[in-house]
Amino acid sequence: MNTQYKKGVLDLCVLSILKNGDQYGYELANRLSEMIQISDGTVYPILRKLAVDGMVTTYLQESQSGPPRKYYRLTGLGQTALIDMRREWSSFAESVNKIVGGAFS
Amino acid sequence: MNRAEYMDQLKSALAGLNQNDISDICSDFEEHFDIGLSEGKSESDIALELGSPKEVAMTYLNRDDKDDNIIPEQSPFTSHATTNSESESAAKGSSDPVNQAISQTLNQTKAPPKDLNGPRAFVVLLNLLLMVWVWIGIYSTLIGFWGITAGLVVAAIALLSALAFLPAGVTAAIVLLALALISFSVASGILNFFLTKLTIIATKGYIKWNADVYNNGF
Repeated sequence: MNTQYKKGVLDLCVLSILKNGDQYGYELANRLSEMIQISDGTVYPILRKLAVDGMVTTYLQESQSGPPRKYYRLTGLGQTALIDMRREWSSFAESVNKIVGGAFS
Repeated sequence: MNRAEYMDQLKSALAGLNQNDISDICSDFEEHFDIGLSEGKSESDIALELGSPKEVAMTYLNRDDKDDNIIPEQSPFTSHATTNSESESAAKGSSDPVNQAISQTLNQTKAPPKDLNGPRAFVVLLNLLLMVWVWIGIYSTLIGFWGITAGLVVAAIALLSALAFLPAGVTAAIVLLALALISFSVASGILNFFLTKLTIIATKGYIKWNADVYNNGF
């Protein structure tokens, strides 16, 4: 699939997954790459950017196996941004679907 | 590609960034390898899934460049450095908003989930006790205004239709009065139109604010 498509919506996808609960990078990357064809490595730059922008915070938590994991949590700012992005996305997707569906033919 | 090769390539591709950023980023990927291995994957499988280290690094470089342009260099005095290592990095004069933000978020330990009960109770009580009456008042006033407009129109029509029964001497005065009433009704109608529009906008905004507070708190 066209990588340009994905770039714009990955932030939205990551925030949406985090809305359902805190995640560590590995789990998040796996979940995303199950649904959308991306490389796992794409997720970390996005998470870092979201942290810098204050959309997510991170904390370390011990795990039964292996070293502590870095968890990502949605902030209040992230929640607000997610609401806006979701609204934008659905109206955009709706318009594109109309055009692709032949609204102008 | 095995783990060591992957990390080497990633590190050298990240060379443009400062040391703190590079080690932060690398620790994310080391963690990814650790977890992947503990789940029984091979190093080369994990490396394959992660995608080319050069491409991954490019994403970081682009994003970080952009951030550097937006956030001006911070002096050690305005930086939010709280720990020694952070003050040191700030004192070195390296503008490093990325790393500082990351450290700040890292310093925050797990906070309890946002409590929405307060905001929700506030919204419900505010509406039940106060805003319901305020809005009833506003809409009643609006209906009253429209009543005045309608009354003016009716009065003008009544006056004009009564002309035939009135003495001829007052015709001019009555017509003038009727015209005046009609002008007033038009003026008040226009005013009411905008007031109604404004009220609807305010109502929508108020409902949206309620929903926001209810769903997300303050």
